[in-house]
Amino acid sequence: MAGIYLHIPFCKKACHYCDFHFSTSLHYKDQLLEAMHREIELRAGLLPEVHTIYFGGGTPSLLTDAELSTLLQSLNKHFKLANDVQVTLEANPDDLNFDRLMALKAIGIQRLSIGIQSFHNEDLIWMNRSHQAKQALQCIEDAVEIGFDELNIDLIFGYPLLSDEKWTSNIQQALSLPIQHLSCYSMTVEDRTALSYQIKKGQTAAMEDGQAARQYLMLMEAMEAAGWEHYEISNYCKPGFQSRHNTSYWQSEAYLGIGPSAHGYLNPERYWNIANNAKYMESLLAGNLAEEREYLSEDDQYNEYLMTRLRTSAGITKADLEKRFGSDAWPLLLSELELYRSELGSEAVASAFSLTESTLSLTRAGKLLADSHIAALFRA
Amino acid sequence: MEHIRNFCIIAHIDHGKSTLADRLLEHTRTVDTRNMKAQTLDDMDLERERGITIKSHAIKMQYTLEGKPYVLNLIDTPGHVDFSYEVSRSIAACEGALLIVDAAQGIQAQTISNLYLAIDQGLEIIPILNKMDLPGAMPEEVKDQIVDLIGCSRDEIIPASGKTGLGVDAILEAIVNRVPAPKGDPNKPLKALIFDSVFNSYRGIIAYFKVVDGSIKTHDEVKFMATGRKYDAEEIGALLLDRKPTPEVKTGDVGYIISGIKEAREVKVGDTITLINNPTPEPIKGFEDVKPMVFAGIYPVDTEDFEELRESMYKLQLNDASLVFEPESSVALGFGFRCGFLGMLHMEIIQERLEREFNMTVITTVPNVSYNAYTTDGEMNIVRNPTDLPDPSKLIKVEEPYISASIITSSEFVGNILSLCIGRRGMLKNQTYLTPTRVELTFDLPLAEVVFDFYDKLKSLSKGYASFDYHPIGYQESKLVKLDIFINKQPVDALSAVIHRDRAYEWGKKICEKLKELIPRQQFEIAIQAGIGAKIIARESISALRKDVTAKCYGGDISRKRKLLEKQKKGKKRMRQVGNVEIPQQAFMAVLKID
Ligand SMILES: Nc1nc2c(ncn2[C@@H]2O[C@H](COP(=O)(O)OP(=O)(O)OP(=O)(O)O)[C@@H](O)[C@H]2O)c(=O)[nH]1
Ligand code: SF4
Ligand SMILES: [Mg+2]
Repeated sequence: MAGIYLHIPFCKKACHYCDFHFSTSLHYKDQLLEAMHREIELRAGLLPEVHTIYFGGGTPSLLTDAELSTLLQSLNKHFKLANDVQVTLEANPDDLNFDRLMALKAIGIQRLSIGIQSFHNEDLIWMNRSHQAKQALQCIEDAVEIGFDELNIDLIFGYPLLSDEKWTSNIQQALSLPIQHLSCYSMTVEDRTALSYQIKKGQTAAMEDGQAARQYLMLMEAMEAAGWEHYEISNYCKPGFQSRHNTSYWQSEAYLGIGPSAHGYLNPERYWNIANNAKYMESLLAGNLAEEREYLSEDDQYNEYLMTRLRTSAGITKADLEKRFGSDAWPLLLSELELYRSELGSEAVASAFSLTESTLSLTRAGKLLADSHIAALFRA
Repeated sequence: MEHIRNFCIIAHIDHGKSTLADRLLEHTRTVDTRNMKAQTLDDMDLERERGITIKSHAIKMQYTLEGKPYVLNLIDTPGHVDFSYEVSRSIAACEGALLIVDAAQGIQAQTISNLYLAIDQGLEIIPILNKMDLPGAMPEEVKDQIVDLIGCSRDEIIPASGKTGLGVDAILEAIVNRVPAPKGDPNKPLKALIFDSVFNSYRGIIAYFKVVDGSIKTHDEVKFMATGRKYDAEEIGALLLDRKPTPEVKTGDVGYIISGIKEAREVKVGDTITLINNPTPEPIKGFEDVKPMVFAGIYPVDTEDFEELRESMYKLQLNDASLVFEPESSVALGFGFRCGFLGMLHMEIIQERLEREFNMTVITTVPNVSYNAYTTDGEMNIVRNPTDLPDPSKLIKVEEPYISASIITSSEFVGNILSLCIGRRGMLKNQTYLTPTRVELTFDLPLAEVVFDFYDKLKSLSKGYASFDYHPIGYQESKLVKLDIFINKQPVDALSAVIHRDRAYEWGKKICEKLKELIPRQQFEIAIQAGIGAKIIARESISALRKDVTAKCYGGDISRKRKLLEKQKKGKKRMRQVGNVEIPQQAFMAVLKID
């Protein structure tokens, strides 16, 4: 299901761990939106039909209802939107009071993805988030009352402040809410973030992978016990509520990215817009795309396929693999696996992968070391 | 022949040989201004990146003095000790040498050792006081030093600057007037000395030679006397910035020959070229064999590349006659070569050149010197690989090579240098004040203590004001032990080292710590141990990797993420597996990075 991603590169303040592309200065917002409209025009019609629209960021909820609505209208004008197109907005709790939620619903937002991260204020302060825990609970209650179709929340685990008890309470809190979808990430220290600087200076303890592994397992067990599906490495849903938008990424379907730093994929090419607001505006306002392109070779495509599929619970199926990469692709994959077995030992490989006659996927233990396992099966 | 002058430029490292050569090339219009860059003759990427000369480089210049045309064959040489073999071969093709001395630094250790190489070959020495433009230049003082050293008169010394061009005319005139023309006999049979060679993937092997007697013409039937091989001189010519084919290279001149030789082993530097139908009776006395100072194993990362590595080493040897190697095998690394080098920089350069010029990915093992091991059965074994050290129960004694080191420095650093040398098991033999502030210290030191990082340490504790030169003085008995490294209980022979007994504990501990840093975490715990015989003296462990999944993998991240994982997979290809532990290439050199 083809989709369009719009990157809104503004945030109120910078979360300490975040390396996404955003700016905390809003004064050229109008111009930037103008540039995004230009980009929509330039990419008009590149998808036959659009099934999902996703406002991500940054913090899209910083845009006014009118601004969001104009973007949607522009998409409607330049693309064929499916009857059941789903529109998702990433939002931070501090932007979502009752009236705002009403207005968002009215302009056609059906699904919200709310950046909650933790239900504990001290964690939020440590992360430098702009909201408080009680705002998170309140906005979910309101959103449900107003009648949004689907709600997702984001949580983070594996950081020094998060004891196992606290993590359990965050999971239980999430499960007690009327939401359909949960994205959970382990705290990753990216270069050139405040967090990495604090760790270097010894102001914050380094992340500990034993803790992250343990908390990831706790999460997987709790979600399974509650009857949720763990359908992708970082994503869980109640049956039937997989994120339409993200699923299209993992199914190697076409999508467009609009806005600075946004990426698009039109098989066999990927493109990405420049991650610089000023240069993005300058170029688009002059009528030119500000993108780089990459052609994916057969091996690139294969490796991406392996990577995205092994991150899903369905994993790789023989039939689909052979359909895309030829009839010897499955035996070749098995021989790579054999090689890995000889390097790592057959017990270790058996506990990481679940292999049947026609499917290959990662087990719960395998998911902890997904990167190593996936890289091992890559075509070099 | 009267119009030919063959000369080389010799000096201590960085005294400005290649820069001065630029000025000579410019003045004689040998190189177009648009092809000129700083140190034009340093044309290897490695030379440019490191800012040092690694290879001698010969080039022909035309020069007119008082209406008479001359051919000046210049050879720029490297200054670093590890490349002194390049200098000695260049000297063999010359009748004169420009001895460059940095006017701010004065005479340094390699000024002296390279000067003696030239004097021993009977070269005419033209002393040049370079870098006169520097504010710190001390012309009078350094002139005194030069006069003391070579016994010339003060006004034979030419003040110059490679930066401003000062002295270039005087130097060119001195080359014509003071360097003798070559003395060969044009009427005798051809006799030419091969002083260098290089492998070219299109043309095969190119040999550089100097004609001593007779002359050589295109399509002459020639013979290389040491190998006995015969060839057609397909192309001969002169060495300009590129090769320039000419019909003949005459007596006393320098040139190159291409004769369709593809097999690297057929050409030996030091060999004599002569004509098949009119051979010279006597070959030229070749070069002395090089005596390597350090030995290390070089192994292909991919075991299948062994034969290709062998071919590459032969080809590299053509261009670096100081590289010696013989096949060996290691339990951990499979088949490879034990190589001898003139020093650590040489070893590093060889590894780099194999990777860059021949596309080989190699592992270099911990370097060591050569030991003499005496066993109970009355034999003396030469040990160039720590694994070959006989079992302690059979060992009577082990001897290691010693050197006499000469260090010239300023008196304020004497204290620091004394403690460094004594820490390295050195014995002070002599201390001479060259001037009230310049001291020459002479030490006897075990070679093993100086080959690794001694020079770096010396430079840093003397703020760069110490120069260092050494020569071997034979073997002495020492209390040496073999230190083995075990990874997950398996001995890794390529990491074994021979160490003085008093330092084994400290060393074992440090090497374990270093390996812990260099071996990436893997999916299981890794135990690293150091032991002497059966006794473990140090241990470290690397905890298992518990989690390595990147959380987000959306839209754009997919590409970036894929590349990261591809890099991870490629990185593994540069590792060696011992048991099931992946050991990265650089871990095998860990020892070098230990303080
Ligand atoms: N001020 C000044 N600097 C110089 C002069 N000649 C060379 N240099 C600098 O000294 C450094 C070394 O110069 P090179 O010409 O590479 O010295 P070299 O003797 O060829 O060095 P090796 O071949 O590595 O032994 C460079 O940074 C030059 O720019 C000079 O006459 N004056
Ligand atoms: S709100 Fe989101 S995009 Fe903005 S800084 Fe925080 S984590 Fe990053
Ligand atoms: Mg040089």
